[in-house]
Amino acid sequence: MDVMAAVGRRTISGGRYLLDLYLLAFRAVCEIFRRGPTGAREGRRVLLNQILFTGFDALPVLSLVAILFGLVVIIQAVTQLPRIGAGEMAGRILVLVIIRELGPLITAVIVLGRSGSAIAVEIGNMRVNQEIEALEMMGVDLFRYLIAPRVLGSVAAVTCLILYFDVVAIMGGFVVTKYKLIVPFSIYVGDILQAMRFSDLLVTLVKGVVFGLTIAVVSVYHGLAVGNSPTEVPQQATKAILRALSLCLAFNVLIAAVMYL
Amino acid sequence: MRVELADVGVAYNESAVFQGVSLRVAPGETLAVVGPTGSGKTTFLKLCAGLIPPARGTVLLDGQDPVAQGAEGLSRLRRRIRFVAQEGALISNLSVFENLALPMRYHSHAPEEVIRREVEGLLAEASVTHLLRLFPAQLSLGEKKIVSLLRAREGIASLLLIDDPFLGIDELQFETIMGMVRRWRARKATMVLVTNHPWIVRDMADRLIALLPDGVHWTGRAEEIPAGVHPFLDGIRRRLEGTPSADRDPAGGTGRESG
Repeated sequence: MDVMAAVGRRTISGGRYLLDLYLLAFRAVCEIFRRGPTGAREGRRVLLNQILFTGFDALPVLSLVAILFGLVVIIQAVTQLPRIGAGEMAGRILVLVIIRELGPLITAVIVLGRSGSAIAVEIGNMRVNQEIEALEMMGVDLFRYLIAPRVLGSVAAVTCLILYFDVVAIMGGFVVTKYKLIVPFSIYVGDILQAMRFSDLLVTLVKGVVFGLTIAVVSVYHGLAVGNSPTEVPQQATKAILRALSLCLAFNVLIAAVMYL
Repeated sequence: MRVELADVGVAYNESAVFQGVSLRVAPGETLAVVGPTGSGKTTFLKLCAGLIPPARGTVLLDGQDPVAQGAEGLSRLRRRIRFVAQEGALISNLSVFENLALPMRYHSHAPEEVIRREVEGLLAEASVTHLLRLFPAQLSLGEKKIVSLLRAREGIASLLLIDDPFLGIDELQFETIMGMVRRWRARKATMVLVTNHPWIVRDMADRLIALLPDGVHWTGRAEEIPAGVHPFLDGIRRRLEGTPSADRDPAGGTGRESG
């Protein structure tokens, strides 16, 4: 009975957590589309900074990771597929592995580690230093100034970064095919474009929006959950990373099931 | 702005911080909040600001309950209130200029040039223009307090809630902050001021509320403090009796008194 009670409590607690996240996300998205009399100028400034930090500043590390993954995937493909008579499927493998799955997931992990933790820590520190209260007392709407721009910036940046990752990974893969298979670039790209479907592009965009939204909302939630103690900041940041990652993986499965089953 | 507390109580972890507090602060009145460390002075200010709801009783600002307001109503109410935290609570990732410009940029459509002139004017009045491009981490405690008070000077405030502005500052900063407090009094703004400086309690405040341990409190004028209620109040009485007027000893107690 104790086990059942514990499972029950966990389930209820988990349900409340997901409901809280949903309400936070809903309100943030509504705020993005709301035209209010005040705060637009400052909201745009925060949005721009978020896009620069989450998107632009992540390009170097994302480029390196994308090239390396592209190389690894295509190395395995060009060495293993010919043994089973499927050497011509290299392009299809790139689309399946990188564009559909690895590209969005790895991008989400990198953004989560960089920006998700930064958002949680920044907002957590603002809580501890009473900056949140100072903003509230200035009549600044937290959703308009602090939360909605970060959510929108994260969605925009993650979506663009996933597309960037896919392109760079494919270029990385081309380096191997050029020297191992002596495949011309036009044929290489042609194979990939032939293997791609409109649903693959749609999946990329959907995952960009969903992962970007998840990372920002979970990080903001845990940043705001910090109390008065500075020691809670890293604790909540760690929770934000782990829970956002779990949710992204769960959404990844859900999207794949809906789109491809 | 009129502040009314009716049988207000606050508790942390089932322990009463203060309870049964009932008082009215008339428009233009200055109320000093005194008490030993941990007695709930900052909590009292946050109650008056509507930042935390009371566990019991009601807090009304000009007849309105801030906790019961919707988002728009609360924002309108808060535009007339200025809350200055003990350590300034400046936004860490914004420079001094951006901290001072934030309320104007958020609430108005004023061009950047107008905002810049306004901010530079505020800094010049307090003789701290050299802080313009610095970030809060680069400021001393006194400088943070001054910038935070300058931020509170923007627009027209009906109610000022200031948490221990005289703690941990030097002589020059003391004069700067005193000047700001005197100007607000002259403009008849309602002020609730946390301070244990005896002559500020006597010469600047119309009344005081003493928050004492175990949820006990006392309210009245500085000259009416009774003897024998609590050692802290007795100490305040003794210091008030032995303290010269602010004009003769403006630097008395700067940073030596604990909040």
